Amino acid sequence: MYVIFIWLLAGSLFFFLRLFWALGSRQREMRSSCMGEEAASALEFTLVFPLFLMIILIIWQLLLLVNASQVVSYAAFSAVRSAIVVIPMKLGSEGPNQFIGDGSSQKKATIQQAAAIACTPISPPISEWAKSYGFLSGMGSLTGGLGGLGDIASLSVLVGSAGLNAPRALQKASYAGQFTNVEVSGSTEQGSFLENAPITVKVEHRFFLNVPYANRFFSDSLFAGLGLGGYQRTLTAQYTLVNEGQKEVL
Amino acid sequence: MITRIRLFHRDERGQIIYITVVSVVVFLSLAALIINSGNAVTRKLETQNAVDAAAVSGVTWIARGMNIISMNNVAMTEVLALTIILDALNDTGRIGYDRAVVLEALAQAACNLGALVPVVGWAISAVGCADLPLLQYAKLVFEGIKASKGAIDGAKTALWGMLSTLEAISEAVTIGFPGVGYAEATRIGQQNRAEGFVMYPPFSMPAERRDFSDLCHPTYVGSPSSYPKPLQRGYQPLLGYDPDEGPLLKFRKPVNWGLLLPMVAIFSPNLFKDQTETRFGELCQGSSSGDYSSPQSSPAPFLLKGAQRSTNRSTEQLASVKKELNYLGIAWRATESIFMQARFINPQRYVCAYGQARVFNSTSFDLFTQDWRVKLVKADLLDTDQLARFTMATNCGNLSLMVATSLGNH
Repeated sequence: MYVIFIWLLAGSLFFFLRLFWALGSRQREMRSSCMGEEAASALEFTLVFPLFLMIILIIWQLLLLVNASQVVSYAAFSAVRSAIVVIPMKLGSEGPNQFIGDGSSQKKATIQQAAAIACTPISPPISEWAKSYGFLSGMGSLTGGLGGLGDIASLSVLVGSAGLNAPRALQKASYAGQFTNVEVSGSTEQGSFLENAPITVKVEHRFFLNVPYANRFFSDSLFAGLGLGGYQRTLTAQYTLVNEGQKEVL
Repeated sequence: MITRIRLFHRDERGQIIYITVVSVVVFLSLAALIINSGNAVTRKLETQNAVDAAAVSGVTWIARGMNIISMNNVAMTEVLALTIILDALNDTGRIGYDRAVVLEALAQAACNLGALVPVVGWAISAVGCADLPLLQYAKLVFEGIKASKGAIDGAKTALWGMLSTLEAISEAVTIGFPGVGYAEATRIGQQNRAEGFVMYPPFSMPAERRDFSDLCHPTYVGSPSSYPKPLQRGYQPLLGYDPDEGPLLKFRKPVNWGLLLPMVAIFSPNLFKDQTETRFGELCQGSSSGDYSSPQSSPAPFLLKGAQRSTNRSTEQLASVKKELNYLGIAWRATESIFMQARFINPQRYVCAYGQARVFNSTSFDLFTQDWRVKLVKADLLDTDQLARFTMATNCGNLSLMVATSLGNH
């Protein structure tokens, strides 16, 4: 899809360049007549064109953001759909309907993974994100400097050899895995979730803004471009479904 | 050429038009991106909801069927208990009438003759005369019971027939409901706009026909102690059945009523117990007896596969039944872009979703408890090899891709 936009931009650029060239050649040849008007016209173009391009870029970034927020809403649904069947299970150290929200929780990891997979299509390959670390990329110490990149190896186990463009998909999944967080809440009693009670999952995804120049207008941090992790915007969404954890015998 | 350029520059409106055209194309493409990806996300979400709804509605028919069978089984024990009471009533009428006649004569004699002896005789006379109306009334009652033997026999036959009907209903449910459930699942899937829908494994009811003796224990333990004494007595004929050891080999011999008659009170439990005990005790043991049809054609309940006769629950075999009660649904739908279809092509032709539903019982895992329900569970059937073969029939393409990308998160 990006290919189309790139071609469109290139096309418009070509159009304007050709226009300027034509202007110049005409100026050379027809200097005698109505010169002032043409010069004003050319000046007008050189002033307006960057502004116009900027507006297009901003709208482009804005629409990508809207698109991403739709996907994050879906990620919230995926996560809560996972939560309502995972929380009632016995998994690791957590008993049925018990939920430890910390890092050791296998249930939370599963729910987080469900959200991350849904966010993969809007995630950049992690190498692209890593480039935004200005200083680090300059020093060429990417893999050493970023602790997160080590996770690519663990994700490769998950995604495996599936898909035709596995490396790219893998890299996207890696980004999504690192920048998607979930927060599970619901009515609990003595640390365990109630049967047939609503469970709410809030998903936070740090969306990577990749449209040049326009990205800084939407970023959470103004200085992110200075080698501090690139321009990102936190998108949140939440979804509620009813816990499927009814007690069963045997 | 120069003329054209000159004209081009003279016409200042033209520049604006070109800019407008370019920007319109750019914006339209962006709008197409938003609409199409929004559409794809919506389709994915709808397909997931479709497969959840379809799986739960379809599998609910299995739970419904199991609840109906449970209801039938409980009804069968009730009807059997009623049959036993009616059976005992015939004997009660016959024996009770004979005894009432004798006792009435004795009381009459005591009432008439007691006054001849002073003091002690008066007491005997008072007791005899006081008992007389009661015994006359008892005679009338037992006479009535005796007279209605035909009606009681008719009712008994009807109840026996009802047992067979209940069994036939259970059988029809066992055979028919899985098919109805699958059809329902497919219908719900399609109504939620899934283009294709399959469930694995094929639906079946994990119930099988057992024999008459499987009714004995539930009938025996099902008699509540809060029942009035005469009703409780109706269950006693099943005492020949030991809840722990199964049917006993020894049954009580019929009592010599002639010798005991004057000494036994009218409402003694032993009065009508022995006659019926032998009959049902032998049926519970599995052998032919009395005026009932042979056990081969006698009614029988439908129980869970592998359920033990005495307890109906908690065996290793039931764990495999529990595993059988998991059903995985897969639904798919084409991923057509709704805007600029030729340009925006989704590399995956179909959007797929899966969901697993389980039939469970939250009270007791047997077919005497009407508490079978359905809930969504984590899809552990996704990992099986059988499924890999099975899913080739769906349009979800590469199953391993599906498993890998969804990673069994729900």
